[in-house]
Amino acid sequence: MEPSQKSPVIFNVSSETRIGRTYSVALTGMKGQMVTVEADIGNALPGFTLLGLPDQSLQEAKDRIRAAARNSGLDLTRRHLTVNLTPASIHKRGSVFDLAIIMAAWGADYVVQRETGSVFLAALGLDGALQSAPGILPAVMAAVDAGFREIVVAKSSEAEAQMVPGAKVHAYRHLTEVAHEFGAPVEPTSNSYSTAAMHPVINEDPQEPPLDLAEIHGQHEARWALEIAAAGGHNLLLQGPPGAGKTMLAQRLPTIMPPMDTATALEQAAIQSLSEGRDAVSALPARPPFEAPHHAATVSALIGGGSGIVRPGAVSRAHGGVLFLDEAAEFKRPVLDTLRQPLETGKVVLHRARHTVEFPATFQLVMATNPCPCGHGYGTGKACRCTSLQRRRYAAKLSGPLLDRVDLQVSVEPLTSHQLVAQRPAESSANVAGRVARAVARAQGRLESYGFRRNHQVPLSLFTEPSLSMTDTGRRILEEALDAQQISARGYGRIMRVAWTIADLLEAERPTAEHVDMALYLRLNTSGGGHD
Amino acid sequence: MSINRSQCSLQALGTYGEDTAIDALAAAGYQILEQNWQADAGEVDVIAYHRHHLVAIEVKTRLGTGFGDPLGSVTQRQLRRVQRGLLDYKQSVYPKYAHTPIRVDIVGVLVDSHGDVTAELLQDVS
Repeated sequence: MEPSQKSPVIFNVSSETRIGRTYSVALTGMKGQMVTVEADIGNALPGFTLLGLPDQSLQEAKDRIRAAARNSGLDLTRRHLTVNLTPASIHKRGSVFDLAIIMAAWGADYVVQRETGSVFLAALGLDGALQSAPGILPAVMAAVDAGFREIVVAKSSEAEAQMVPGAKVHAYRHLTEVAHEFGAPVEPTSNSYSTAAMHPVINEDPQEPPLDLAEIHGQHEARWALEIAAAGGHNLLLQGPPGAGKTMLAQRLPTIMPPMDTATALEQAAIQSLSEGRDAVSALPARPPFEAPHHAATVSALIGGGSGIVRPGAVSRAHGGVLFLDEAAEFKRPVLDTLRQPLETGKVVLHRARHTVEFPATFQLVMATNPCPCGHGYGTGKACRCTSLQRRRYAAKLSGPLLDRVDLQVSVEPLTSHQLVAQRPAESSANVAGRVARAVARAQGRLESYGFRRNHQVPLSLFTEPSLSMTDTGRRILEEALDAQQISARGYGRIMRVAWTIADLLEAERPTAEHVDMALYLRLNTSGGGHD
Repeated sequence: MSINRSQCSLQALGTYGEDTAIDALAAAGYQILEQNWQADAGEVDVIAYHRHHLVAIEVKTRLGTGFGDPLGSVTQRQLRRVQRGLLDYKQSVYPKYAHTPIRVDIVGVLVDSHGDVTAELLQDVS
């Protein structure tokens, strides 16, 4: 094997370069911040420097990117590559920047053209396959908000990205397809077998048997309270002995609630995208979520938290839907009391040393609890074996300030045989949902000019407006209750809102004494009426 | 000048690579001053004069890319050694080149499986 005898021509690798520039998004909680990825090829020893506060998983991008580039047949530059992620001050995490970095690096080497302007949101496999990363949906929302419409994502997160109105989504399976699209001299080879292996099947929703209110016999008062809660978005406490149907009732609340509006559904999908990991979200959720954390839940499980990446908690996963606390009195009291802030403001703000994270948490609180530790302290309380001290301790688990935020407090009585074996099925969810939808429409028509949608959102000051004031008789009942210290000032406003919802459901022009009485009764009937 | 891939010592390969590099550099306009210059700090493969610069050149030769790219396998430490060696050289020929700026280049010589030789030059590494 004789090599050619003439001496080789030396090839100067210091060819012409430019600054490659692409865009991506860094997420802090649900808030996305545009990140500019700049790549420069310099005359240092061959190597790869990544600047701009990358975390460990992002540092590893260097090796991923080199391998992915080689395996797609377009080597990265053999010279020194410096990649900078700006703004440099915010922490960047995760593998979602992979595609943006490699496109910037190729841009610096004149391998691809026109790469500036698109937002790249995908992780890379070593074989060059594009993979989805958590939080694609909030990232795309941030990009569109910042005025970037061209979004490049992995095929597996296409549906998620397309949910955002105004986004022009380009989805690819393999790095070569992206490179080809941006003018690189490479044939698109879709490495279909590997991508197929990674995303085996789009797992369909496990079909749970549909819940329906028709399965609940009797419980007229609780059903009525459930209907009011659904129509007005009010918080609800169900109190009753074990086996009376508290959990069944609560689980059926989403079946009669109006569907979420698009903005809320998008926020809900974004939270799912952040919390469930990859490929969880493929369509806008149609039905309000129902989140039921176990009573051993910690503060961070409930409101969100975690070191490094802050994850949304149960209150945010229940955004736009129902947060159901079964056995509410068994929750640790400090855990329950963290709910006060999100109940008032509709969002959770988590403070960390370096940043503040905000998650939306507009949920309807539904709590179920036994009347006492043994569970039989209802009615006359003859079956109850608890001492008065035990009962008081149990009741004190639910703090006053928390209960003050619960508009509807209902006793769920045990069923009689007459009700349970009734041949005629109870009213179905569809019927109730129809009534609820009409009530919601009435409220919406009335409140639209004030910028609200539901009764529970209306601030107290607005009730002095002529079109939102109740009848004089109704107001007098309320003022008497306030003066007798039966209700707090907050309770005053909350009862007015419930009274409006009742009026909407009964298709009355405005709340009368009857409606206010009903609201007052629903608020006070458990806290006032103990058997001891 | 040739090399038999199947039976050659690493030293022979290195010498072959340096010879190849010198021929190529001379063809590219480098004025070769020294080869394998022994300094206190260490050896400098090639010292040359090019475009008003005194240049130290580190030559790296590889048989195939199985153990990486020749240019990519030069370390920062080698670079510092070459730079110090060049300063030694500059001192030894004083006052010649006293006001000439210095530079370090690296040359990667690759002998692939067909015996074809390619040489690559990376200028002004720092």
